[in-house]
Amino acid sequence: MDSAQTVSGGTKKGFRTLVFVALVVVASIWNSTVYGLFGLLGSPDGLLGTIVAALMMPLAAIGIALLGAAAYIGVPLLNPRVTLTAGPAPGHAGDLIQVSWTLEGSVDRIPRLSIVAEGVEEVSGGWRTLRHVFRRQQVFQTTEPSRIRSGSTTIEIPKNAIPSFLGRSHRLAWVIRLQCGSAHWPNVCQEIDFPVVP
Amino acid sequence: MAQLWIDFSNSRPHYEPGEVMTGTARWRSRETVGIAELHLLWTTHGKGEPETQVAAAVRFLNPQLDDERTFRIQLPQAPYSFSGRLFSLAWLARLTLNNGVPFHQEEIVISPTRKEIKLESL
Repeated sequence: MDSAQTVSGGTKKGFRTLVFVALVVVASIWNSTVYGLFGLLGSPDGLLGTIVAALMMPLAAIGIALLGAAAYIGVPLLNPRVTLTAGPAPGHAGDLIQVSWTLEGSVDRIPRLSIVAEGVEEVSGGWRTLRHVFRRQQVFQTTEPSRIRSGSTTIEIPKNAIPSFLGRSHRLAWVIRLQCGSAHWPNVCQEIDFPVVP
Repeated sequence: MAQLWIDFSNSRPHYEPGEVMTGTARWRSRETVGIAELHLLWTTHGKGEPETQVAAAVRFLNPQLDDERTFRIQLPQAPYSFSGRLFSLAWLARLTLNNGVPFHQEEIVISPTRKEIKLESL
């Protein structure tokens, strides 16, 4: 496969790590301040105690939410690093393309890997993106650890595939997605747009 | 006020990508016609802000109040006319006088099957 004519994508953990560290710092400061304040006020009796509790409960809840957010951001950092490559690119309807993948890191906890080809339409505007998958085909699946770690497979671009389209906020794309499922661990996913031309 | 028409050589304006689209643009105006143009453009509709892009334009020189001109435009290879659940893309031939008002447009179809492609059928 000619590496100059492939599309590829790899896991980027830099920004996620930064957000995770920031959340841990903020959560630590917040919680130590709130619980420190709890300690200073003690537990007064009667109406004063009720008022203090009513005031402190929302602050404590925010602290717990910050810890939850840090965990949500942080757990996927333990996922393997994924590199997914496909080519030759761009492709035409009916072409055969080769898809290769490499997973580095803690691959042992991944029980299953699958490669899925999707046709998607997307509309983005403001802060949200609408996405609809109009065609989905699983092209490869394995539970073999050595093939999970790295491998390759061939995909045929559908014979009736229409060319990719990219507007300012509208997009029609052909996507190759690598999925690693585990019941006890968040999914490891990587996807790349594969350009299809007339 | 003005009246504008676009007549295509094909009985139906459905084309394959790269095909040549020919026809006649006609108009009848009471006001001076400084500029008369035929635009080939695509537009999106459905979810999101509509997008439009002109792919080709023909300017008719020395337009008269009551005039008729032939046109010949090579159509692009892509994008195709298609419709999905979120949005659709349609091609238009738009005849304009004096930069936009008034105008008249006709939808055309560009696809290898000469029919709008339904994404759900792919």
